Amino acid sequence: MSRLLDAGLERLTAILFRMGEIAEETVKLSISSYLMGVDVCDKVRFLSETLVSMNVDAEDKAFELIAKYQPVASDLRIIKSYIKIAHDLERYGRYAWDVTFIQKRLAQSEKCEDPSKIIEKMSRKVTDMVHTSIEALRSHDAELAKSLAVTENKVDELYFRYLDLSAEAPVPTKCLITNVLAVRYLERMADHATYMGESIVYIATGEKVVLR
Amino acid sequence: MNPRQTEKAAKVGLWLSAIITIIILPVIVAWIMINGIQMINLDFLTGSPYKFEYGGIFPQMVGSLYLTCVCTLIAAPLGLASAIYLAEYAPNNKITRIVRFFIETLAGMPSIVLGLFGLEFLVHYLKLRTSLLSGSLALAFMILPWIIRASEEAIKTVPNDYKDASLALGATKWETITRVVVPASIPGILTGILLGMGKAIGETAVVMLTAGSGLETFIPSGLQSPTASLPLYIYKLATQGHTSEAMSRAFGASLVLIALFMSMSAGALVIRNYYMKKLRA
Amino acid sequence: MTDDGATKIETKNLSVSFGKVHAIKDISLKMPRNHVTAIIGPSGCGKSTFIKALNRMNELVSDVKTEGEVLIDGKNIYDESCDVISLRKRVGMIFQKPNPFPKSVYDNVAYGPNIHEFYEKKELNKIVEENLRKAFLWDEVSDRLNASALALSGGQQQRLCIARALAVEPEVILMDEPCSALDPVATAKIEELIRVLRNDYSVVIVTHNMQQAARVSDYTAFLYLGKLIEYGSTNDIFENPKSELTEKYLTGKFG
Repeated sequence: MSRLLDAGLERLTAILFRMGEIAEETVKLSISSYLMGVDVCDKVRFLSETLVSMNVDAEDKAFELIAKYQPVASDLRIIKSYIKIAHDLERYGRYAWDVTFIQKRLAQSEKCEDPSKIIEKMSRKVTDMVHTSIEALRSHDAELAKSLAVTENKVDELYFRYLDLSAEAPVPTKCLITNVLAVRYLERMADHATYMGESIVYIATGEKVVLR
Repeated sequence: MNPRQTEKAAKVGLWLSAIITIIILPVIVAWIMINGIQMINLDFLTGSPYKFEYGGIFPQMVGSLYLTCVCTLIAAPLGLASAIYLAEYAPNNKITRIVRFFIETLAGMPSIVLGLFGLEFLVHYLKLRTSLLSGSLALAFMILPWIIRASEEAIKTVPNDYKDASLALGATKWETITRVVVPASIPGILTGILLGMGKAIGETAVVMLTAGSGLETFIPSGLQSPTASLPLYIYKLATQGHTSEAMSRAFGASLVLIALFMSMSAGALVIRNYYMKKLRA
Repeated sequence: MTDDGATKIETKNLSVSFGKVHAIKDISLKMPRNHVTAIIGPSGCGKSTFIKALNRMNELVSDVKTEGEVLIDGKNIYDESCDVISLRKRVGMIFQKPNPFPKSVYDNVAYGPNIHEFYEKKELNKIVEENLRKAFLWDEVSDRLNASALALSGGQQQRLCIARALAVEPEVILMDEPCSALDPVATAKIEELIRVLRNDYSVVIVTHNMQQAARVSDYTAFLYLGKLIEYGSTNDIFENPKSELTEKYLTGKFG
């Protein structure tokens, strides 16, 4: 039996899934271009701005559903969480843009070397986390969402290791600063992935967990 | 004839029937008035019958009123109590159905039979003699089923909502009946009583055999006293009177009787409307 | 969920049947003092029967059988020693369709007190005013206490019924879908009233309007086909119901 709320929920969900696709694309593009030293500023800016406007749409839609249909129980949890998740997806786009921008601004979009290979490792893990979070969103899979906590720990470890290493560098170069900022943005992406995970667990089970 | 013509014919036919029915009352009243109005004067209304076809009808008027009142005083409480029992307490079983059947049958009992019963049982067996008491009792038997019917109907129409509310406040069933149900059914009950009184005042066969000769020249002094009544007087004059004097008197008395009867009906209407207004808003 | 000192009404394995039909089966529930408990569920789930068992109004229907216990302040009201009249004085009821008596506003409120005790005119006036104030109705009717109650609007009539019920000084107020027959503005006034009433009374309300249950109650019980499916604090039930059946009902997937 289809309720009036269902049509609205479908549209809201469609917005979020599309945001997920775009966010994943944006993150992958930005990170791979950073590692290879390619200028993708225009494309990433466009994608990020798309995510910003889709976040506003999602929020508006969510509040419209709340005002019209007074949802309760699982419906309410979904809508509440989708508002947060839309924000998290928009953040993915924003941090991806930050990486691309700082690469252009400080390093003229050139490739910055990283002998420690930490950035490469972090990139892989963070891209995975972004992918996993979006997968978990599609299926409302609480277990998958909870697994993000483990990866987040590892990302944090890598982050602090890189900071320590960088602190010991004798001379500050443009690339060093760019790299430090980039890992910061990567670490923030990982944080938002866990926030998404928490929201997904809440949708599925009603539990309010902390995955950090 | 096509449907349109049938429709028109039917309309005309129904209209004619209605006209005939509606005309009957005014025709009767007019006829009586024309023939009886000349009798109406103070002497007629305050004097007593004299030598059969002369004199006034004061004892007859008073007698009718007394009979009606006493009979109502007997039948109304009895009828109301029975109605309350039937509407609120009687279980829905065979015995109750038999009781209702008895009441319906009594309502349709031919008045002459009731009169005969009254004569044998009340006048002779109970030795109550031809009196106000016998007449009132017999009349009471006659109007009792009508009062029960109207009252029961009125009580049943009281919405259960009121009873639920009263009981939920901690009232007993009896308190609910006396404080809510009966007050709310007053219009129907009163209408029933007034209609019963209307029947009683115009009843001839019963009073003929139980109340008196109809030609009494005195007003009743007590319950054992024979009592005159207007209908009986009219009957006697119309059948045994030989002069036009007698007939005029009969018409005069009829006019008075109709006036009394119609004022009772009008009274019923007025009282009913008053209480309906009070109960609605 | 609530400790026993704070429980006003408790049902233990309560079952009610009318002839061969089992209206409610084996319901055990604790309703706390000075709080509002809502009973929700689809049509025919037994909510009305349940609430009418709490003041023994089911007994007005012939052929009713009640099993189990209903304890108010720890005493079983179905015990032989319990007097139904004084029970109904302690436990008041408001019905779905406002049912003021065809009497004046004043006489409606005074009806209950007059039945139980003799009061002097002055005392009665005070009682009438006090309870009309409690029901948020005084300001609207103080100038027409002798007018017929049936002249009031639907919402006013229902508040009058509440004032009438309060006049006998109950401890518990039962409400059987009190707002179903009212417009949204009148409904809102009554919901406001219910929130205030719980300071002095224990309220149990049956409603088919889930949002109303969410707005007005502290605890909610969900009934389905005569059985108790779930019972908990309103916030918990409406945010994260434990039973799938409750979830389905709340989200409108049936009923």
